[in-house]
Amino acid sequence: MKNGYKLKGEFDYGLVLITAVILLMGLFVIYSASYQKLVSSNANLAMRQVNSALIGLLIAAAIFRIGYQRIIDFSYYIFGLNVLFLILVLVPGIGDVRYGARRWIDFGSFAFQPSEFAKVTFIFALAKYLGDIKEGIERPKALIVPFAMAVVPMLLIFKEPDLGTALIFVPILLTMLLIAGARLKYLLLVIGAGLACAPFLWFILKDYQRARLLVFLNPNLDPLGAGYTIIQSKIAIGSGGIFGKGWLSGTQNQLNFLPERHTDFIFSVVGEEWGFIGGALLLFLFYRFVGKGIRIAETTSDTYGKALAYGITTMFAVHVIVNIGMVCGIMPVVGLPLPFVSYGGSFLMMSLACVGILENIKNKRKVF
Amino acid sequence: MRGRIYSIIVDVLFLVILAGLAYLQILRWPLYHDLSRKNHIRLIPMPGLRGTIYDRNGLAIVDNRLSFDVVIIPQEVENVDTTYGRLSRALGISRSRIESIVKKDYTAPFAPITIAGDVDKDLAFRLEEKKQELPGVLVLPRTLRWYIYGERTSHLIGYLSLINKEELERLGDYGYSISDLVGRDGIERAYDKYLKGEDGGTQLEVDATGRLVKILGSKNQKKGTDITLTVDVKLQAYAADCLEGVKGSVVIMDPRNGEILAMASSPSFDSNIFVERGKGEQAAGYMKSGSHPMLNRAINGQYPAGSIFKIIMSDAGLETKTITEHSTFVCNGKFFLGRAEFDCWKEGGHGPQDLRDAITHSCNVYFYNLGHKLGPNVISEYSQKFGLGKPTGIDIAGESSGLVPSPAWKKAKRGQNWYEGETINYAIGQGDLLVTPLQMVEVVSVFATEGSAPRPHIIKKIGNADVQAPKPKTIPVSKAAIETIKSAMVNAVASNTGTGQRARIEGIKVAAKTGTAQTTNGEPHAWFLGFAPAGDPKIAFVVMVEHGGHGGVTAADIAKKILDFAKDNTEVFK
Repeated sequence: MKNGYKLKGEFDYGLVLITAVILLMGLFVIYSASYQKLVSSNANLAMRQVNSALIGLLIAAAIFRIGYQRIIDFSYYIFGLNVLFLILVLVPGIGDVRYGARRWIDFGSFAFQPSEFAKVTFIFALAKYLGDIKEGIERPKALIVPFAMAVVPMLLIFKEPDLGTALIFVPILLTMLLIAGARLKYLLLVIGAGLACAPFLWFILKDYQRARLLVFLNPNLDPLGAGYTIIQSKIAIGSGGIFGKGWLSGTQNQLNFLPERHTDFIFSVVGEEWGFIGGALLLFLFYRFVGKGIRIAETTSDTYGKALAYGITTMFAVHVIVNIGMVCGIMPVVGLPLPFVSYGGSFLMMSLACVGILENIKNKRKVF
Repeated sequence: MRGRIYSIIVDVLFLVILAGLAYLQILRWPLYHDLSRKNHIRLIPMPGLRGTIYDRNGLAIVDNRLSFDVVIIPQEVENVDTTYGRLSRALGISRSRIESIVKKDYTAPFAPITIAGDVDKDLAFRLEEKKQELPGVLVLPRTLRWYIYGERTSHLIGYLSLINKEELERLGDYGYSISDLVGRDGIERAYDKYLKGEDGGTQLEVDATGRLVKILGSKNQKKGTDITLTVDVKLQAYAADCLEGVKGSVVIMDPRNGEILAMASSPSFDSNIFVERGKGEQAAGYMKSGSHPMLNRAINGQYPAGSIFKIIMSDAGLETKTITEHSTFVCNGKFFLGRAEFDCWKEGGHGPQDLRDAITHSCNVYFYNLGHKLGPNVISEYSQKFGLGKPTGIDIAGESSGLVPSPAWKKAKRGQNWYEGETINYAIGQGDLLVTPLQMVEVVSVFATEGSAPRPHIIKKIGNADVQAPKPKTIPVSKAAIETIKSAMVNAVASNTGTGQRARIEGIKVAAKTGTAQTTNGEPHAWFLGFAPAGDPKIAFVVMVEHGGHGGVTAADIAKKILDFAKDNTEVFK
């Protein structure tokens, strides 16, 4: 049965519907979060986000047609190319510095962030490795390649600097290894070693990154500086209450008291204007989304597809949990956007492409 | 099995987040609600201050001053009738006007709306005292741009006005917003990105009566970078005063390094008008006025040069060896080219004139003869050598380039041949030749410094950093030729038959050249340019009066007044 995707029931309409609802909610929130910008400088970020979504949809459809297996075959090359772009980004003159970080490569009117795509190309490359090696993963030596694959992009992204995106490789790597059957003993050993090294990490952090960690422990340490955003964000979410203040009516949001509120801190706008009901609903949708991802991963018999689906699902789960945890003040501030909601073209396109991949895995699962 | 563990971990993490959300939004809601509720959180915007502009001696030319705005916070107004009524009486504006302002500027119930800007200080204090009776009405301090010297520095400094739509689209990404004032013209425009500050604001927790409980958060406003100019503001103000009642301009520059010491243009406008609310009509009046007060005549006025052009002609004659300093032409008041007759300004003529005499007396016939020998192409070549025909590159925008005609130019531009008679006119700075006062001060500097043309500039320091003065251009002129012309310029002032004798000042030897440029309409333009002290020039100057009649009179008188003032009241000759 070659034309698998025509089979009824082999396409997860639920996943697409959930994605669509989250995306739509996101557009409304971006409109509100950037409303003052719209009023003051005519920049309609929601409209730009719609454009990115349309491109993302095309990419997702294309990937669905091509099929993930064919991409897996080339995944080492694609990953290699992505690493090359990560290096290029750091070259002055090529990489575009914004907000003090060198993360973008400019192509005229269009700028893209190689680090966003690195997450997915890494997942693909690791999936190929894990699929190729199969039972061999139980040997400790087999862990060297996966770790190397993770460390290279991590270091490059860390250098940009983008701590959040660099750190997300860790849970993805560990999850994929765990699911592929790596010995728990070795994994725990590695985690232990990592934790032992953590104090040394402190010294290579940038000043502002250290400040964020300290502020996480006590936001009132620096209420006008590093703690400012998190205090404002908590006031916004907390004052939203159960029902919220209503769309476009959040005082914290509309009075420009929330920095970065259309990107990483967008959930505080959700919390303020849509209240606990809106926030919990969004969280539930994400929970269902992740659940569907796990289900797709579990029900595929293809080792490549399984590893791939777990990697992607983990990436989404970490983004959601860390992002919302951060804006609520339960986790330190590391810049990770909220999938389908935060403003940003590269990340949205990449996220939609991942939905296409998940659907494709689901679609092909009976082929094997 | 492993998938199961994974699922459980995910479930737990999502539950933790949900619990965190519930804690903030349900359990702690009273606290946060309280913090953000009406009357409890108030935003005081603090617009960024623009940088101060200083003169070369550290005197402030442009600063910021405190002013008071009366604002309404719609949500907090309890009784619209009494509030508007009392405000109307206190401010002297009609109720309907207040209503229309509120309607027009309303953005959010808690966002302040300015009803009256820059109100009287006493009124501000009275309203502040009564604030308990008028909930929702606030008096907010604000800083306004203050042009201390008003009209006297306006062309140099420029002014501010609200950003327009096109600029907003272009500059939006650089932190400009719709309520921003941006620099127009002069220094305010050219150095806007340095001068512009960064907006801030304070979020206050206040009690029901409006008293401060605590500061919840604040983003400090930032002041823009201060800028120091090369200008001596005392000299600037005096030069501007000297131009009162006439149309024209004065430029004074240090010929050694191109530092502009004063640059005034008249008529002028008051930069302060543009930052004060309710003065829109006056500002619009400037734009429409037939006397063009917004035009900076020092850099944008393009005029025929008249006789001041003769110093360039003299250099061309000497350097091309067409004449020597002793070559003599006899002036009997007329020069004939075929049947065409060209007059000297002195009826009956000057008699035999060598070059020094010709410059001292500004004899036209001498230069008709010289121009006839040189031909138009050589004259154009030398004009361009001295920088005419293109902007000097001064560091404020919108400079005009003037025009250097030539036979090739005329053919290309008008499709016509060059007539010999035009050359004769050209020789005394008439015809199509157009120059700006700034270009001429650069020209005269070449004579003052004997060969180096400074690049005029106004900025001395940005913040604490010295701005590297642009390197002077070296103009290939012969020292001997320049020396000869210079001595003739000294003569023009010192000699009792010289055209510039009215500019003599005590104790300082002035070298100068007068100019009377014919115009097609009305009185000729009066020019006077030169440098002083002649032996060791510290300033180069040009005075230009539109339709001012003879340069030796109107313009020279102004120059004399300014030089006298500079000698007694400033450091420029020290």
